[in-house]
Amino acid sequence: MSHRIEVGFKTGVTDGLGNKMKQSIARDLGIMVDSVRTVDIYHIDRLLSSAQITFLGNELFADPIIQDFCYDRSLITDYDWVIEVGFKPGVTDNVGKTAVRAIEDILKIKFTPGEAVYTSRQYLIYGKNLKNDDMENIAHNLLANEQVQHWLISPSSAPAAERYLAIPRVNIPHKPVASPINLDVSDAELVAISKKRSLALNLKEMCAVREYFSRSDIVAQRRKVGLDKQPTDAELEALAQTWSEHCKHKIFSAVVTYKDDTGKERKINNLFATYIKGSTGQLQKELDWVVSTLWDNSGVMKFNQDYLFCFKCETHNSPSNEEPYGGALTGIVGVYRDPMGTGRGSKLIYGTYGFCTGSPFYQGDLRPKLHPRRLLEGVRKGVEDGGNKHGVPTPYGLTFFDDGYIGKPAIYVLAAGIIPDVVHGEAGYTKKVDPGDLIVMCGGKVGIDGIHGATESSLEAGEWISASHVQIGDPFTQKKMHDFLNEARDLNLYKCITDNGAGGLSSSVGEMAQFTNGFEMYLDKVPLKYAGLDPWQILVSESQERMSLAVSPDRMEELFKLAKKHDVETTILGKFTDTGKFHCLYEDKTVTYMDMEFAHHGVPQMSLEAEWRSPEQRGLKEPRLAEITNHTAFLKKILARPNICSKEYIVRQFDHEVQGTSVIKPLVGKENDVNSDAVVVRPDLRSNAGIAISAGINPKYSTIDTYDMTACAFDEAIRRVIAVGANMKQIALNDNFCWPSPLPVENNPDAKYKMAQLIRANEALKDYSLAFKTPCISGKDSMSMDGTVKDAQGEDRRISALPTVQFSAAAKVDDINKCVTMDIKEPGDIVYLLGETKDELGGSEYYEMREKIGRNVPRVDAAASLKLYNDLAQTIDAGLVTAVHGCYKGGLGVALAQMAFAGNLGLTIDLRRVPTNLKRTDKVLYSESAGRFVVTIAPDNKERFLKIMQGNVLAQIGVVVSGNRLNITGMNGKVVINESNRALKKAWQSTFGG
Amino acid sequence: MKAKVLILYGYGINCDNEMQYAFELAGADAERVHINQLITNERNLKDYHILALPGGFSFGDDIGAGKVLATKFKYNLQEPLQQFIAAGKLVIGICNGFQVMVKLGILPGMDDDYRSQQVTLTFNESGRFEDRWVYLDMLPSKCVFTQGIERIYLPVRHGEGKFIPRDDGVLQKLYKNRQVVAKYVDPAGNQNPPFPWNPNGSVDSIAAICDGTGRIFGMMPHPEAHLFPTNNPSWTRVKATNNSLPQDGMGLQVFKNAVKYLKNS
Repeated sequence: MSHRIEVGFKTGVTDGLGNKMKQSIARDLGIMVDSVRTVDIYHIDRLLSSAQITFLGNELFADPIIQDFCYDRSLITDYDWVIEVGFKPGVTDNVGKTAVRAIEDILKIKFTPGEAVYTSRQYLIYGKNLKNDDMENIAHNLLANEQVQHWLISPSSAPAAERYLAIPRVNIPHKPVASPINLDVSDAELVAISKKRSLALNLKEMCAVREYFSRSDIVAQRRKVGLDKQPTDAELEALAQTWSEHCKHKIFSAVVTYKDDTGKERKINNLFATYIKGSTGQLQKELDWVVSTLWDNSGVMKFNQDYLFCFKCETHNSPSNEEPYGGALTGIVGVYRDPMGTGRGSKLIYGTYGFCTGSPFYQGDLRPKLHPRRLLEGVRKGVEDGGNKHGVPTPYGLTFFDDGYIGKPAIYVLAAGIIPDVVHGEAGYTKKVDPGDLIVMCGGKVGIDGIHGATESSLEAGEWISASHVQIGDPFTQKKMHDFLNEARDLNLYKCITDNGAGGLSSSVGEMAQFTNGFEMYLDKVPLKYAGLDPWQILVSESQERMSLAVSPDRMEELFKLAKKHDVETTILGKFTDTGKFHCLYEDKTVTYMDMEFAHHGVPQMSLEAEWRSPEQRGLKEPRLAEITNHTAFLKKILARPNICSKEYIVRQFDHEVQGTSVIKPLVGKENDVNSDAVVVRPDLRSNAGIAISAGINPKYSTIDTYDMTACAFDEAIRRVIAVGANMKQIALNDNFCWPSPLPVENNPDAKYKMAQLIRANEALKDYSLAFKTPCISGKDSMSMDGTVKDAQGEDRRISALPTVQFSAAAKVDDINKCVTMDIKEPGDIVYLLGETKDELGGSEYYEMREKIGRNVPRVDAAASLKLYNDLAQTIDAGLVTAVHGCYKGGLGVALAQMAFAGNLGLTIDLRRVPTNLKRTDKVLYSESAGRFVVTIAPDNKERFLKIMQGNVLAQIGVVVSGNRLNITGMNGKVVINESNRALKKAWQSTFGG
Repeated sequence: MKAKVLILYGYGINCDNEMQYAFELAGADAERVHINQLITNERNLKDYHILALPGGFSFGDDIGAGKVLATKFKYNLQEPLQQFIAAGKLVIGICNGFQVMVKLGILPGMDDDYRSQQVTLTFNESGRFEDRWVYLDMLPSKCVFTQGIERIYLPVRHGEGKFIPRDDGVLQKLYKNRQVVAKYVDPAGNQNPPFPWNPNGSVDSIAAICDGTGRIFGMMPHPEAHLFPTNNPSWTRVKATNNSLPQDGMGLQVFKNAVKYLKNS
């Protein structure tokens, strides 16, 4: 028996969501409707009396001031069409879960297993001449995502019973069992097994598994626990997770034969060890603030005398491509668990985002399942809900649009936390586990959602569960767990903590068990969302919002008590041992029994080839272009470009103030609406120390050379934090590689070149890390930035993204009161340009506008930049500087315009004073040479400023004046730009409508 | 004796740490207490002078912002809460805390009825969450927390902040009893400004109200997010012009007022 409660707005009350949908239907789909109203539906799948339902309607579901409700009938019936959208079976329904809690609390009753509340929403559509096809279009392309939702379209004439969407109960008609997998088969069949189960293990790896389980000593050991020479599905699945590219980074660990552009060959054994660990390890020895790098869930540095700081950036590309909202939501909520599971466990202090998608204005030939505009809005909303509901500020982020991301987007999410320097006598970054400690899981329950490869098996069994491995996250459950764990840490209730991310329990417990060399876990103890999961599914499920702990048995009672206070589900699953075995049981039968050593170190090393071709060999050269005739018009055009223009609407929907730590905001200037170079937070309210936060990215340069692309992204991240008042003494970076696959498979003809691009990027990472003494203390790679998309003719097209590296910076700011912003502030201030402007427009926004690529990609001069950044930081520290802005994409022209309209004062500039060998106005304005800043100072400070800046390339290029116009004299001595700030800002803001 | 403040936390409340720090800066003893500690009697409301309901997303804003936490109070702690109010103590709710208070009925608390809902806070007119700084003008009122403040600059960060009274009668009564504490204004101080200065479309630009006594207070913007002068988005501009910064952030006064009131009473 179930009840259906419908809640809608009273007549005369604005239906904001309905209005927004009406606009989107017109804007995105070109369908004109008169109006849209929304009705929220709560299906209570439990027997209640009429009096109870009425009581709940009044007390819980409807806001008496603005809403009406009814039950078991329709609230509103005068529409022309209705689309009801609900979740598919097994998809997380957060509102439904909350409704259950609230009903239990109000009525003092208990829901039994199988009873639940399911939510759905009706969109009531009003308008004449609307057809069923229009409704399908609206449902499919706007209101619902078939990966996780289903819907029902009805005309007003449909009988009531046919208008109701079915309740998505989960019922898995299956008795859980662990099955042996026969690997004594041909090589071809081995590959087929891997493919059928979506194990993503290659032949060499499958053979290594077969060989291990065939060994006579292993067979003998396994017979004693009731297994034989065939591995179980649980063992094979656990190995596939542990050995996955995601967990083991097999491409970065490969041995590579690299042929350079002269044909010379050399071997590189393990890119990660050679370049990333190579440079970070060396710097860790030199720099006392580098604490813990490249092994734990996030990298750790010193912050102040009380706290350590840790951060980690992840990508969630494939899930976001399927279901942008759920993908990005689980991405941000998932990456939060990395700092939470670092060392003794941290308190979260901020998150950031990076959305690389196709252009939201894309009108080309490709027909991706989701248009980039919809994908962008989905990931934005995912990060909004994940961050805001978790109480973690999201003060910084970026977008980058390129149609190469139509195959697969790069969706970056970063999380940072602080850990007490010392936790009960132990250093905050350390972890330990002793044999006999209990395996404890806390947070959410486990379901079949979040199992890669569950897709096929679920489809075969019928429509009883969502065919998707994409999940919807639950920030509420995780926020409760976060508060619980912070307190448990301070009470010393656990010894070790890690998150359940990729690979689920098999990875989290498997990794923690390396401290003791073994574990014994009872999979039937794991709390499930619904019955019917096989042991292997429980072991590898990636269901969200879970952490694993190692707890001393004598602390368990207190931990349970604290968990009850915070209403966090907490369960003992087994214990850590020193047996050397990866041992799982289900209903007292052993289902995995493998050597820890084999599980973690048995994966064979991959061999790959790389072949570099220089830009010249690829036919790249500098274009010959006519000068721009109307520079003012052109400047407005470049300001409006999607990769330059304002995305204020994104920034504003993220809470960047929560925790009260905000110092330099994401939007600054007189009207708080121009992007800051970086942001600054003070995570410890009792301390004046801060963290400056930024990121650098510029994949366009990859087309020319990934070495310089990487160098420029690296430089940009650093330059941005310098611009707000950080210094070179303590900047930590996080590297994220998003690469098109360099694996030699049949449809990937230039795999060797992509691998060479990867090596060059790594060389740059190492070179600039060492030169700037800025280590990458954490990082991640995603090595399959490819997708197959249909074109307008219905043909499959394989789209590879540009090789992309995002560097995220976190810099210690000694005194936040000395920070600066990029807006010009006082008439009379002198304007300096720091750094040389070179003939470096290859891959620039300017060339792209003129449909060229070019050859002269910007190069980073590490020695000159290092001196400049050190000296500039000194002038900021001395309080000599009133505004600083880096020159990034769009070069000097864009930087000057932004400074002018941010401060809304006049800015008079003479380009002939710019330190450069260039002769052309367009090149001086739009060169993207790295290492440059525009700086303003009060005239009184000129002498002191110049003294500190001695030995750097710099020149006074103009002055701040009263009024509100940007006035630029070109290389020909004539005024080439003269425009009001208002007009420039309007151009910059109009693309996304502010 | 120091004022004892109970800062509610847990279940998705997010602004408890900075709220605690705000009261500490103001000279109070502030303790974060989980609602389950009140329900199990591990802590008792009567042992505190001020109840503070911070901002956040309690229960994920599911069903309606503040709604489920309000029902949790109503069906587990109604009597202790009513006694707390009757005893002349102070309650402050910011953002989500304000939403809880109106849905619980302890605001506006008309005719000494602190149990029935007379106003609501619902979805912003823009249909989306907004993080932006707004100017508020204080109206003459009995509100303990806002005495001596004329204009204040604070951030709003909400998706459901649009103030709507049950009907015009309720609205007029709020004015008559001087229960309307603060209204959104534009930077020049003009009344009834359009978006974005009225960030959510609130009726009569109302941003904060209190009960008839001035002791029970709720507000959408966040004073606990403006404790330092460096929280002010314009601080680098102020510093460049004046060569100095004010001692405190503008929001601190709200908490100082509460502590001062208790000292004097």
